[in-house]
Amino acid sequence: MNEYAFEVKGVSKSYPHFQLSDIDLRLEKGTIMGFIGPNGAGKSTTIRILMGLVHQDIGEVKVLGYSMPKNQVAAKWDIGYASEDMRLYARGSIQWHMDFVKSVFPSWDSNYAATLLKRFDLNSHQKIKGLSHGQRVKAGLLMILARKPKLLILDEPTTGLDPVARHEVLNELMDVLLDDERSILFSSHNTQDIEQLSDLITFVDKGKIIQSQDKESYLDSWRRIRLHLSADATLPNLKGVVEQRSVGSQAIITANGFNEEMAQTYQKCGAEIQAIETMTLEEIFVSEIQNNRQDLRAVTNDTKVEQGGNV
Amino acid sequence: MNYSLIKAMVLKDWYLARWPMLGYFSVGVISLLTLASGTTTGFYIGFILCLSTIVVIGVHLIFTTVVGERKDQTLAFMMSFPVSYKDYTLSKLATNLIGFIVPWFVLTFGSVIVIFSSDGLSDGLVPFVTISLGEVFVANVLVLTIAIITESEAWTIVVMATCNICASLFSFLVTSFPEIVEHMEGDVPVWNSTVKTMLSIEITLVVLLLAAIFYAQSRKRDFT
Repeated sequence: MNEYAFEVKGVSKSYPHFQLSDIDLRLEKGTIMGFIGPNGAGKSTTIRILMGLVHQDIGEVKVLGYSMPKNQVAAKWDIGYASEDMRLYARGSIQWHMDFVKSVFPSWDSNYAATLLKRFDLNSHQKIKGLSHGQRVKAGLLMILARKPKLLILDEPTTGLDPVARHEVLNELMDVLLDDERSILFSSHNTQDIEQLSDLITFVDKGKIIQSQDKESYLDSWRRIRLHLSADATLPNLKGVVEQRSVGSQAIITANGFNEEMAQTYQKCGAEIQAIETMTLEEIFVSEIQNNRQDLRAVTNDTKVEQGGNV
Repeated sequence: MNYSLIKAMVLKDWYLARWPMLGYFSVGVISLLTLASGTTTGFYIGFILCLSTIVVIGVHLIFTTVVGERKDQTLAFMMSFPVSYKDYTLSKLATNLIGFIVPWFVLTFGSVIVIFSSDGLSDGLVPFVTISLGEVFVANVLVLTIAIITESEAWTIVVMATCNICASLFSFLVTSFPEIVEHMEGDVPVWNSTVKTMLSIEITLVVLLLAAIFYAQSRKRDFT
């Protein structure tokens, strides 16, 4: 039996102005992965490849044990997909949509649908065109949640929602995970939602996965260290330091892979440790992206120098 | 092929377009009554009204069920269902072709019956009317082909406008053939080789356009 909700191996996809490169990603059943990246990073393309809506140029994609895009029809019976730019039919009512989805999916749970209607404070007779953005998003989620799919793939589902609606949606998603067999991939650039909900964190930027690991150990590995420097102190280049900023006698170090040894090394170099702070996912996200882009720029510059030298 | 889901998608499209279709149907009934009024003027007014209604039905269905699916961002919702691109394409073809063929058939047969039963209209008109209605059918399939393949409102409008302009030119073209014109006022319809060739070209074009839809759809790698 397949232990993964999905597995992506060596997937690439090229467009004229964007390239998704060598994506490796897997999600264990019963877990929720937060998929974070800035706009245009490749989140939606990756998600569409998982849904079989976009065909990868190379690489292997398996969703619920089915090869994608070849077996997408079989896989989609058990996938619930919602994206920020997905709409329901404006002229149909919520009830009409519910009846339509029910007519297609035998797994539709009418009692659960009725419960969700109440929880989301939706009127089933209202037409989609008369709904607010938040109500539309909740109606869309109702259509997939009441089907009870094994895998939920949600592309920025909370974008544009007010705090109350966001809270309702996130609570419902947490309820989904009460069933050990069900899994969620949740993309967002709202790090608060991801931090609240996810077991795993995956960062994507410029078409590449730059980090993918479990949330707790990932958050735990990052620290911001505030130092007071003596006049003759020189800070060493330590492994894991992502950013180092100094103003006068003050220095702020951002570190990934923090450990006590790191703190001791700074102290030996004449720095006084004023604070060692944990970081929010948003702060880590910004550091990761900036660090990744600096690395990319460095690689590009090195390549240019090499090419210049060769000429 | 998931036929039950294809059927559900077709019924869904028709349901969402039911009120405008009912309106066009009412206009269609009035135009058929005018067409069958027994007078030559009534026939021509009814025929033009009926023809316009059929063109509008075809265009309306294409814009709401194919172009609208992309424009209104409901395509991703439908493609999240357990359907393949082929299923989706078949459902759009069925929605539009059946939705168009039924009124087109009623008009074609209605016109032929009225021509045969009316003393004021020559039976020789039948081949010309059949060729003209065939052109309307080809034009509808062409607009549908462009809409499904490009999913672009702009391209669909361009092709639709071109087809409408060409409809008048096509009538001039057909009436420029002496083999057709000389029999139009005759007592019996004459299905000579010119008429048969024109009808064959129309049928061939429809088959080629439908094949082009499946060929183009099978080559698509992005379906969002």
